[in-house]
Amino acid sequence: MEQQQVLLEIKNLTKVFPGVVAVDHVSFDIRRGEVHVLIGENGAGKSTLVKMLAGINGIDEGELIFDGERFKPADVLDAQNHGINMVHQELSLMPNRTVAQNIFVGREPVKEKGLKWVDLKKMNEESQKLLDGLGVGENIRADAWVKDLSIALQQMVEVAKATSTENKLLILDEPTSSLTTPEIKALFEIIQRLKERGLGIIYISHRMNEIFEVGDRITVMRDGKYVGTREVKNTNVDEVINMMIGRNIGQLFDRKWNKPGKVLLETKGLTGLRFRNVNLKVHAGEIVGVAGLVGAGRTEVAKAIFGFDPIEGGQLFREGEEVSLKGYTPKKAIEKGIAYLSEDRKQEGLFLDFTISDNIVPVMLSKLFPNGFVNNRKKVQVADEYIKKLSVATTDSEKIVGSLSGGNQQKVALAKWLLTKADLFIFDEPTRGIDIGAKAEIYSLMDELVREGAGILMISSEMTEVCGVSDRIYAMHDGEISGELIRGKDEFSEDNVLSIMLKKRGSHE
Amino acid sequence: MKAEKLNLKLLFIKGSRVVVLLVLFIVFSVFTENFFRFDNWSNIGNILLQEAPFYMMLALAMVIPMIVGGLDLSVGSNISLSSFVCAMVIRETENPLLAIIAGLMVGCLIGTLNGYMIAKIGVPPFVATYSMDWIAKGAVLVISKGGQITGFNSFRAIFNSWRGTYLLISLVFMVLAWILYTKTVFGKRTYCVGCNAEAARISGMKSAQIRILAYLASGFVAAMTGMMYISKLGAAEPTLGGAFTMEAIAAALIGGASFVGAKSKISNALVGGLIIVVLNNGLIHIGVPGVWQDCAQGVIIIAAILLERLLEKMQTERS
Amino acid sequence: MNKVKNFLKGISGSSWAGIALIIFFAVAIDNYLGSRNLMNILRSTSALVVVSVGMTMAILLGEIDMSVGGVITISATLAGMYMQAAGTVTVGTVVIAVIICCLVGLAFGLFNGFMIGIKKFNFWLVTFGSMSISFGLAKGVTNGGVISGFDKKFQWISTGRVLGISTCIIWAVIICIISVLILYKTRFGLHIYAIGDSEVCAANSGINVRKTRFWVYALSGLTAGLAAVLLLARTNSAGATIGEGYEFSAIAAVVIGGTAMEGGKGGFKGTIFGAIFISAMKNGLQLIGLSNYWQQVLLGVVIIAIILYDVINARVRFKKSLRRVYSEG
Repeated sequence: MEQQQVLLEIKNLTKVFPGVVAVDHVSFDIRRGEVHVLIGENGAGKSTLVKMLAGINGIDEGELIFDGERFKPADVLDAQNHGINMVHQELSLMPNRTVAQNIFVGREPVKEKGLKWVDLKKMNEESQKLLDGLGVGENIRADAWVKDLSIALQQMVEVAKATSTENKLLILDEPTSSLTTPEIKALFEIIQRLKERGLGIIYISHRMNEIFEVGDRITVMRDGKYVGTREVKNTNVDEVINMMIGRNIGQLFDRKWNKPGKVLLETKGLTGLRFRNVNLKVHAGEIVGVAGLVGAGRTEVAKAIFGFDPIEGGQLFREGEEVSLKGYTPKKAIEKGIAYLSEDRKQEGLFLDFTISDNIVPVMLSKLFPNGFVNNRKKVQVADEYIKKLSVATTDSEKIVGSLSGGNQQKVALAKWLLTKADLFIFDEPTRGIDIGAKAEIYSLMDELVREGAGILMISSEMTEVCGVSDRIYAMHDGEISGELIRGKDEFSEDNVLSIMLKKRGSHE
Repeated sequence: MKAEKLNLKLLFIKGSRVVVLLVLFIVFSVFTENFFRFDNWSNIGNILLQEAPFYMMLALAMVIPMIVGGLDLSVGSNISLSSFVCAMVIRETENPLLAIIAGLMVGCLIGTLNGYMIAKIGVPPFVATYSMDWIAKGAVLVISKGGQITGFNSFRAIFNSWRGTYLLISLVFMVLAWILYTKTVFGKRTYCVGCNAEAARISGMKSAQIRILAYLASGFVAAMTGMMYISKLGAAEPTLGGAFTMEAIAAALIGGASFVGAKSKISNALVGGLIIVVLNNGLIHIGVPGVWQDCAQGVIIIAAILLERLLEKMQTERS
Repeated sequence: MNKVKNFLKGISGSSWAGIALIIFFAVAIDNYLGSRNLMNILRSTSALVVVSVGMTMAILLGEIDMSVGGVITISATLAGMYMQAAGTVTVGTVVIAVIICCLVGLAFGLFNGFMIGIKKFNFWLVTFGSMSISFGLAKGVTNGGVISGFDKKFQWISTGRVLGISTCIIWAVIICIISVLILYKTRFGLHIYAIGDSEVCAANSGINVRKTRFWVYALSGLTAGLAAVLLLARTNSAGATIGEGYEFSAIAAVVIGGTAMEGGKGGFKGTIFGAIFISAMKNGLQLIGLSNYWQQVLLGVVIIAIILYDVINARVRFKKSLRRVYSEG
């Protein structure tokens, strides 16, 4: 490759945190106008590495040659001034500020002469220009409040923000985790435009199909070390996964299909705040996927079935018996053997400040300790049992859950529900933000659960997951069930799922 | 050998507030003539028996809502109102048991209203309990018409018959609270709610109910403190509560409690109350006049948080 | 007609309550709304509005500066003691007294700013500690007593007249204008909003969060010192309790004025009205002739009722809006 094609040379980059070498003498390069995918399991060091490029983390060892010159970002502003910008995984916009204020936060334009008052007019004009340049100027006005925008549009604002300075290198960290397929396509169009402008793009993602669709080259990291770089057109998923975890994991979705048993859960005409007339069934032995756009109402249905949100109409049947909806709370749902693994495990599923054992027992406190007094020894015993069962990567049940990786945290959240011996599980985005290795473990666990007679209702926005793991798929659109696919009868492809997701109920044959 | 060393350091740091207490005690003993001498044991005894119980109870009334991530700014007026109602009942019925029950009920009512506003309606704790503070202040003014009640000697006799009554009551409360919040299922649930109310709800807990109970407990403790107080003073008047809310917050904070949910412990109330008492009395013995005590309290709060930070740093450096 | 209707709809329920109270006072008290009394109200607002500037900034960050009441007290007390010790009072003495007041306020502000902004201690603990220390210091140096009777030259700061308007009002207006400019037109001001709205985002965008926080508390202390000057000049006395309750009045002025306690929303324009309203209430209660204690209690109840009403209303409206949006399919 011609030398001028290389935008950034990373040489022996190293970052050490107390007790762990997060990035270990990594070297590779980024070219202009390419989408360079950076992939690795959680803890592989990719986030840490890009944060060094963006000026958030300091560089301990090694050097960067950016655009031909040696460069070491002193801080975020320094990196931005040199043309390196990052869009973080967690959307970090200010909801109560306008789009323009968000785009220019930290570097608000000031009037040239006199006292340096902020030039609000200029801020709005420049912002609108940026949005137009990205092709979203119609949907987003510079003076709109960010909180009024949908998540997808907010993501666009983030991209606009990141490209608002003289930009040479753009880092996208899991940009699609909150987007659904059509929105992802829109994002890819923007990425294409940026490529044409000559920007180098580092794209961090776990989603294989996206990587192979949008990427030009892939670099794999493992345990802080550089493993290798491949041209996308010259490699495949298996090779990449092999590089990531050092072994073949075989089939990711290794399901043993069962004959569906009795009906564990049924809803008829269920209606609530954000959904109407939902009819669904879950049999023993099956995993039922629920696909849909963000905002389609899936989580709301799940929470209603679990008693967390109020139900306004319709009926709920548990193993054929009608459930009284008056005063229906999570406690009652749990008593009926229903479990709910939240979409947002940090906010709703776990007590991050507590130990693993304190996170496993909360649901079953009165059953475990019927005399009202907590027996610590028993608590630790139970915790150890489940740590082993789920292969949580630690032997210390008194470790604080907040310090575990995403995959292990999800396992703890799962353990909490397994303890209840429920047989109707509702999993809401069970593998979000989790690396491949842990995903495989969770899928295999789900398979085991349904083989033993449980039923799982799985809400997911990842098409490959939905198609790979489910016995049946419901699609929801705008608060209603818009279609159903049955394995063996209907085609289980992403396109097919997408088409029933986007159809409104009634316009279906 | 290493394991033992580590454990000691950990204990040192975890019990940092106790360390503060000991340090204060030792400093005052060393630097003053009168503090630690034999004939001063009666003074120390006096402090323990007459003053410490009140500060410990005040701290307890504040610590419990802090466990669920809130605070109770109505403690002062709660004390005024419930103690005055108690005095009124004595005046009318001469029945001490009835009076005590009446006072406790008033305290529980205030606490429940606080809890309801915060947990069911969603009013931020600062606003809710501060409103209750003013409402209770107004209520006690109205029912007292500005006057005071004195002379309920039979009531006082219950508490004053034995010198150790106040201390006993406060220790009983402490121990019961400690058992309740540390050892029972209910206590675990309370901490869960304090850590993450949503996750607690999803785990099947009645978050709202648990929070309301925390404020109810606070009101109960405050009411008891009020009745102990009027028994000690011999008079009940509408402005009694006064600065108690601030004292309660100071004692709780000095004892190591935190406004962050689930980070406070019942033991914080015990230690905090003792620290304040030792501090106040130690200062007097050094020769610091009463007027400077408030200032000293403030300095101690700052010193305590500096000490905690220092100990934290030492701990992370070790590991 | 529609424009008027929309404007009326936009006034919150608590504003109606406020208007109702004002009408009540206007009816119950002679000349409550007369120019003389209105000027009285504005005069007594001056100190409150100045200290509320600093408080607005702290609350916009999502935090609270509990120490302002104590800082006002100690600043006024030290300045007062200086003037008493100075004997004959010249213009120079007055200037020095003002400087002392401001410096003491700034000193506490810098301390708070350092501990909270730079060293990242909890704002509750630090400002609470500062509050105790400042009130305590004032109590200690005055032995719990009161100093009073300052020279007319000093009193002029609040009670003099320029072009027919009281000087304290003029100072307050000047400070308000400066503050509005700082908050809305400088990067510093916009950064305060940014941090209050999403500290993570602000930090990731290169805003120096520590520095901004530091200066917010420093300014809060400074405004407390300035308020102390006005207060000292108007009431002509200082002592351990002179600033008592100012922290709560300031918080109330800010919150009633529409700035939410979680930060990132609201602003100084609302605070001005909040401060005026509270002064109007205080004034009304005093003129009705209630005892001091009753005045305090009723003022507290009124303020709290308004805040409560707004909070509950906002919750109900929020829940209703969810319903509306999603039932429209």
